[in-house]
Amino acid sequence: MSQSSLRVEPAPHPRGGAGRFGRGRSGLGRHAPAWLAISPSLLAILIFVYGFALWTAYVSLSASRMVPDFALVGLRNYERMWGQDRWLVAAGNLVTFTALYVVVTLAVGLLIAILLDQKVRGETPLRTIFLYPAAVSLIVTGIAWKWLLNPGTGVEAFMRSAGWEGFAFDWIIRSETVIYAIVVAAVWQQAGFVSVLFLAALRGVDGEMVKAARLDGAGPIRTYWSVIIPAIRPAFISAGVLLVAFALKTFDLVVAMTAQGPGYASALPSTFVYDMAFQRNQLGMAAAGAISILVFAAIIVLPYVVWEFRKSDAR
Amino acid sequence: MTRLSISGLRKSFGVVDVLKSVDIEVEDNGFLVLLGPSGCGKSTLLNVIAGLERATAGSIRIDDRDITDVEAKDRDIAMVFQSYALYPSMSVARNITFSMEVRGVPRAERRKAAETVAASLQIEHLLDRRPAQLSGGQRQRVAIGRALVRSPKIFLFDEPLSNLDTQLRLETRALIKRLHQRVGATSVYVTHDQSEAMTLATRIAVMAKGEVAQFGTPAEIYARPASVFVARFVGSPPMNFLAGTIVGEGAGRTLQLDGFADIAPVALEATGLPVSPGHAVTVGIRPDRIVIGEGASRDGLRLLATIDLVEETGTDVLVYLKVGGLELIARQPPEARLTPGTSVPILLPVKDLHLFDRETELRIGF
Ligand SMILES: Nc1ncnc2c1ncn2[C@@H]1O[C@H](COP(=O)(O)OP(=O)(O)OP(=O)(O)O)[C@@H](O)[C@H]1O
Ligand SMILES: [Mg+2]
Repeated sequence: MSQSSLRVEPAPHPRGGAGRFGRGRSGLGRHAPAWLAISPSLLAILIFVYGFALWTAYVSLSASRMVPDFALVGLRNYERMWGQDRWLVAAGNLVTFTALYVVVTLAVGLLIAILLDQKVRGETPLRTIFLYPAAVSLIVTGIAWKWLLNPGTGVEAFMRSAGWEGFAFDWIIRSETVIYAIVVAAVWQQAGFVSVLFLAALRGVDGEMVKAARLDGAGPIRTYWSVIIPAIRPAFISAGVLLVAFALKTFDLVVAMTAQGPGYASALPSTFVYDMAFQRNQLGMAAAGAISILVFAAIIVLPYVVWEFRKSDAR
Repeated sequence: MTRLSISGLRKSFGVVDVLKSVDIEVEDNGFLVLLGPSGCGKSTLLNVIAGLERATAGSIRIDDRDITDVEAKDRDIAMVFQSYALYPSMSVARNITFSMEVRGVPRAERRKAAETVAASLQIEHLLDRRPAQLSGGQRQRVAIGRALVRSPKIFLFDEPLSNLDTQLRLETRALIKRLHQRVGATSVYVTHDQSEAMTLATRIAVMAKGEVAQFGTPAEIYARPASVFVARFVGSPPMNFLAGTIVGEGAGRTLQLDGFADIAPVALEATGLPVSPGHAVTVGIRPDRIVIGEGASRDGLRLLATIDLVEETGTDVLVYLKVGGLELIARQPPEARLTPGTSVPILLPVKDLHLFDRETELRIGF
């Protein structure tokens, strides 16, 4: 099993030296064909990802409003942004949403995968059913869940009409709980996808290892907890990194489901940036928001990168 | 004191009968080797003994206790797997003592047990490593340590050496033999390597298609294979086979090789075999029993052979002979001077011949 399936840097060439086309020449020349082959995508990434990220950073320090204005104003955009309740709510929501969404999706995905792994009949159709939500547009998911969670039309209305008068499930209309309603929809969307990742990993687990655990006296729960789940750790890391990326990009779900409401109680930094850039003519502040998301992503990913580098040093 | 008795054991997966009535008895401190070709049901039998698979019929007993329906973890049986089956996320020490951890043994005690076992396997210095940081031989030692730490009644081994290179295989084989002599626990060992079987076993069960083709000591199986299958499977290079027919009756009974009418038949009365005239037989002879050259005035079949190929293995010489349309392999001492292409007389001594019924392929006689 690949321990480093998510390592960004390319694996070192087995012989450590001359590349595929190498003839023992040294320096850049030796790798020229390889460089030539990757240069278009490298160039595109340099310009469109890192170039524009730098440009955004610059804009965030400028006086830009409706159109770019290159006069630098220092950290004023950041100060103004962090002074706004709307941004504070959005940033807080992002932390809550990312944490809950990643943890709950991993847990639910793992549970589905473990259940599917019990050699159930009709596993293939079940797998398709669980995977299906991931193929649905987030806009569709958002609208469907909007109706499902709406007290007047959805689950609450259904339960009450079925005779349970006191039933309440009104997360989506209360500003303290609306973010949890969004977590529910987002988990529904991705749990099946994650379960397929986990199921593949579970299928790769050595059957003899599971037998060994049984002979060592471990019951099914102990075997999953101490032996199987640690053995599929690489799948956890892959799924976790993907989910963090999804979480940070979440935008359409909120737009379709709550339109950031009630009020701006379910705003996220991404919707905040959109508002500032396209509705309120605050390009500088939008850029500051975007850079903040980048920093947030770095804060989450950094421990992982450091840990990976430590591990490769230790080898 | 641990005696393992298996009687009338059957195992089917759906409509496939993988084991068809297996009867085996392993004495206390015995080392039983299950030997057989791939797919004959060796691993399945081991899994049933371990309790990892349920028997379809029959019974398994340890001493006088019937364990056929006992849970795997309550059988007091430990197993070493072909793929080592170590827990990748745990250190070597934790791998070895996971069974104690499950039982709630305190940490200090576990550590001590791990150290004791590791010392006996010479892996003390590896206790804090992960399985991924070990070589194949070291991993197999850890897997053995995991079984040893439990001091089980019975050890099961499923082809534990097949992933190792020749040198390591010999070393680990010796290690297992030493351990067995020291610990003395009853063991069942699966392999399809007959030299492993011969060196380790006190008893061998040769298996074919879910049945025990022969059950006996290594010497018995080598000297008196019960069927053509066993004779072909045990011994390297394998036994040579020729077709023959019984001619004559009573004291004048002889063995005639089919297709060699001009060769003098050999008198059989001395061996006192229960065969009737006209009986079609398969004649077997081990490569090391073929005598090249005039031989002494011994009884046997005398043929004229052409040397086809000579292979030096270092310890001895393998000679490929052509006799009529047949090919025979003979094993000769290394000092034999033989030139390919030349013709030599050969002798198949009558006392070294094995006779099998051509129809049933079973051994004729005792
Ligand atoms: N779970 C199962 N379901 C159906 N058939 C099985 C199952 N397990 C094993 N078999 C069949 O039983 C037969 C014996 O398998 P087994 O693994 O015991 O062979 P083996 O003697 O250990 O072979 P090898 O030397 O290759 O390991 C095989 O034909 C295999 O296809
Ligand atoms: Mg097997």
